[in-house]
Amino acid sequence: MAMTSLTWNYKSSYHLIACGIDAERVDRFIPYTAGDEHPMPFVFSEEEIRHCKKLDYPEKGFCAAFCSKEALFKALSRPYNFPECELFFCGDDAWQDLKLSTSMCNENRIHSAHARIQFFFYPSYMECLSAVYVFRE
Amino acid sequence: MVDIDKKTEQEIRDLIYEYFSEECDVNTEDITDDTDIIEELEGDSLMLLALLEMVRKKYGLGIELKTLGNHLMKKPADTVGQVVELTMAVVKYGDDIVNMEL
Repeated sequence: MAMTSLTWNYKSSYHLIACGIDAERVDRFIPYTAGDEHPMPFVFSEEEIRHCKKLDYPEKGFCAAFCSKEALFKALSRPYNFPECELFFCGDDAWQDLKLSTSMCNENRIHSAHARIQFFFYPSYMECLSAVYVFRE
Repeated sequence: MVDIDKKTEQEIRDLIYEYFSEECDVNTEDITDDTDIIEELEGDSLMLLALLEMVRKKYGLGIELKTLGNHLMKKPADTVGQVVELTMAVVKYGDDIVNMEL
């Protein structure tokens, strides 16, 4: 799936159908970075965990993935089913594609979903904000 | 369906009260069944997910988040008492929770 949201404009064949937003403190995800256990299988897939644990700051990866999933389900006004959506965090201030399950795309007639991830630094903590845009063909 | 005795019911209640007390930095004595998790304890979805994960692990449950989500659409859990009820129902009925008139 090609990245579309960064270059999206009114001539695009994709229609923006929903957007959602979520923010969390990054330090809340520190407990999930240690140990061999699978943290929160309700929320993160095996691949996401492997990916995040390889990052220099795994908590940022977990936080970005969580915020993006929550923002997506808010946008769609659907009950949370986080395993249907994955995000492999690739860096600060980046547009990223969300990887959605086929059933989720078919049920909601979604072409693609993209997250704009930003981090905000405060004196004693860091916050991640994810804005998710959902497109239909 | 799993039968839960009075001792397990009390264990679940204590677990939830202690969890919110610790996470929200509030004395257990200040929490009641009517305490609103978002308004009064400043709780959020991540807190609830972490609690459900803990319960799932402790009681060896295989329930999916989607099932819980569908159940919560019908019967929201805004207060500590409602979370206690939800948790007991999850332990008792597992994935069948969506078919139950609770």
